[in-house]
Amino acid sequence: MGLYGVMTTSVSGMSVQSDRMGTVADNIANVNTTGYKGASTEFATLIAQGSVASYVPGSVSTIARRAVSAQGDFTYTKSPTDLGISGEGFFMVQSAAGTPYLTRAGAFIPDANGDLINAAGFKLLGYNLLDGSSSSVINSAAGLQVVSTAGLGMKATPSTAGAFHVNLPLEAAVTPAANLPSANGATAAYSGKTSIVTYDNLGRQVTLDIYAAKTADNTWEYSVYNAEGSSSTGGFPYAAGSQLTTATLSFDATTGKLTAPVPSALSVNIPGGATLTLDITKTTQLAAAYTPETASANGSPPTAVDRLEISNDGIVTAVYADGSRVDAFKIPLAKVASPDNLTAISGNVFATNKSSGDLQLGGANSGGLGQVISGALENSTIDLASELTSMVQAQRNYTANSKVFQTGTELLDVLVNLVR
Amino acid sequence: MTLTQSIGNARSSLSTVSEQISVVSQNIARVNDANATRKVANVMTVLGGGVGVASISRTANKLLLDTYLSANSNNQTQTVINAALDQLENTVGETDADTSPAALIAKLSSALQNYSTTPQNSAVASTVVSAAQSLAASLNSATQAVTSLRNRADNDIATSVSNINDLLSKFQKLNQTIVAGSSSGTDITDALDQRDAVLKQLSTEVGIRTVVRSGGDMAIYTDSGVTLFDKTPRQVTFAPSTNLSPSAVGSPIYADGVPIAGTSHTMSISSGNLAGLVEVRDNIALTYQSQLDEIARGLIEATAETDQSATPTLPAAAGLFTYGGAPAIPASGTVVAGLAGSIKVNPNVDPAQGGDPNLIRDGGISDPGNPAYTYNSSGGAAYTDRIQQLVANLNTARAFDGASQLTSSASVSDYAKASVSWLEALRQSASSEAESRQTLADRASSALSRETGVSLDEEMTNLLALERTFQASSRLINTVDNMFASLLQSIS
Repeated sequence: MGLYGVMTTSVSGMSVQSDRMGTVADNIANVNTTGYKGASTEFATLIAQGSVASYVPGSVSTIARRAVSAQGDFTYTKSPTDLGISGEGFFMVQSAAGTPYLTRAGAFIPDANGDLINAAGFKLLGYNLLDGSSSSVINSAAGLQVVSTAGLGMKATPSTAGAFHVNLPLEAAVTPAANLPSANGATAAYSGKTSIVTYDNLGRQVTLDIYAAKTADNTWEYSVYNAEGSSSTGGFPYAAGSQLTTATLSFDATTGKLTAPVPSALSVNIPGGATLTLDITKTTQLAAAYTPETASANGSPPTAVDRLEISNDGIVTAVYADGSRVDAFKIPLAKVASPDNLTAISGNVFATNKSSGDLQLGGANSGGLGQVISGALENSTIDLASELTSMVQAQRNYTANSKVFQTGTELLDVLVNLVR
Repeated sequence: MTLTQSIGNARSSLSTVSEQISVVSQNIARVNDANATRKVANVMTVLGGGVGVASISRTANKLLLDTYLSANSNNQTQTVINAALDQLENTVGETDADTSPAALIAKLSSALQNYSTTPQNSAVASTVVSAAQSLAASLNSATQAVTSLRNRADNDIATSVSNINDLLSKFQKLNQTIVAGSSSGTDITDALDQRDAVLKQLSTEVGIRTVVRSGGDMAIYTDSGVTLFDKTPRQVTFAPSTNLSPSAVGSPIYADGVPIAGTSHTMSISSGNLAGLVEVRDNIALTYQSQLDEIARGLIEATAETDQSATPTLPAAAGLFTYGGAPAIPASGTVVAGLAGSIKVNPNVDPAQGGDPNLIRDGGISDPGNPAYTYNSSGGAAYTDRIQQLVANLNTARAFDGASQLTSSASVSDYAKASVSWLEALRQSASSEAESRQTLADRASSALSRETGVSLDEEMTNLLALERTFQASSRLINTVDNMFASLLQSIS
């Protein structure tokens, strides 16, 4: 049986070397494919049972491997939606049919609907932080939504907090009660005025005029007016209803620091907007001129989304034209127990199977999932030099196997020619 | 570390070097731009061993810029004041110049003395009249000069205010670019340079203080604390006067509804073009005008005629010098605004207008028909008492208004001299102050440019180093390529 066995064994040897050539060809073809993980071949012996007296040659079989867990290096790009992962995790994407897959190919761009879609047409999945409508399930893709800029319309943020720190001049003259800014008379006298821009609920600009007048030693009065109601020269008297609030401030005579009101804040109801809490903690009364140190409030006028930014913990932030930022999505990363056993599917995506273990979702930068790198693409893990070496090896091995086959045939010829 | 990765790293090095070179080329191109700061490309290692440009920053120095802004504002104020004083002196003249009121009073006095030696000579009387006329004319033209100076200052204030508003709206656009750019990490260094340039221009017009807030946002306040810019520009308003009369102060300037200069200012600015112009318009020129008015009032008072009846009943009346309110004499020791502009020689003594110059000797100029004011009751041609009295009156101490910032008791000729020395002293101190402020501003400017400006030597050195890096990276690519070539050759 020996000679036939030699031929089948060498055929199996040639067959596995062609498998190996197949992986080399695939690897070299994909040397520049983003997120491609190198395939390799392992060989296993198949032993035919013989006796001590004779040797029955077995054969060899191929086990294809894919080094999915290998980390590729990065190519840096200028697009913030090009994403790479440094670590073990995978992006969750879905096919056009809605089936969830895992991938490391992060060349995403917004499509016509604003959905982030990668080069192979898979859409990026994430948790919606804007309306909190996504439920987070740790071991399934349920509750994930397609990351999209479509829901990010224009927005206006009403002012709610601000700071107003000034130095009030110690040497200022006391203003008679009738001339206090709070009396809103044409003869109003004050030591200082500062105006702050705030925004109402619809993003309209409301300018607050804040007047400071000394009422007694170490005692000051703040009057806040809506600048819209000011007189033609921009000052007193204001139209009725323009006065938004007044407050009395007391200062420590030895340190010049604010002692009252407690808490040290002005509460201003912005017309058509929210209640603005203006922090005045650092207001001082020192022997210097009226000096505004900080005078600002938050809030923004209506602005549109300028672009998306993705942090390394996977938070997709919408940056508006005025520079304000809103966290819109959180991109989770997935991992499985045995990533190398994932089933590779066209488009650089992977599907879970029994041997890979179940899906586990988590935030980037946690639990060994790695971090998301914006503006980077993960290169394929192929090293051209080692692939070429493999190829040379496969070629030599194939030739050797064919020589064994050839020799077996010749021996059979000799055998056949014995019968004459 | 595979060969493929080595090529990737070399490539990242090449692209980084080209970005750095483009920054260096920008710097070199702007070596003569005073507002350009030196830009630096900050290089960082990226994951996987490559290299990239993390950001482009500039060598700014907020402290030096603030020093420069305040020095520039202070310098500008003094320059404006100095120019105005120079102009006043050039038009009004010095004590020893023939055209100044002080010199002309001395001339009138000597003409009167001449006349007192030959009282019968009406030709000499006429020289007194012409001396008095040129004195009145010089006061008139001085008033005109002061008024035109004030009007020009008022116009300049209007120009300065519109400049400020333009600069603030320009500032808003740049500020928006910077706020948006600093959150996105784009290169905003050029916008920052431009914004600083706007601040420099703004500091020329008005003294400012800046506060930098989160996201590169900047708020501007005047040196007195009035908001000029906070997210949006505040309106600076000013209503120019069509013609400022000597008595009127100009209209105030409002910023954000607060008067910052001019009358009834609450939070008054102290530096910049605007502060200097307002100082000239409402203070220096006005004070000088009131001094001229006091000289005119002193002359009318000194040459006034009193009731010569045995029991005087009539009030004193304007004599040689008269004005719109004649024959009454203006109240003693109080400025009559604009008097110097309307003072003139009484036509009753002017031969050109049919007057009789001999009335200077005889009295009764105020009302030739009323014998009560006639001093020379006998009608003798040798009467000199009145002439001598006039000479004495010019040198007698009398009360002047303290508001004119000169002595409150002096003779009119001394007062006129004091006025000239007041102007001269002010001009000298202003000129030396201007010089010292100019020095400070120059020093602040050179410190700023030394610290933040482009240095050609440094850029050329950087350029050489970058060239070497580029060559080394290219060499690396070449080497890896050769290695692949030899590998591929082995597969025949």
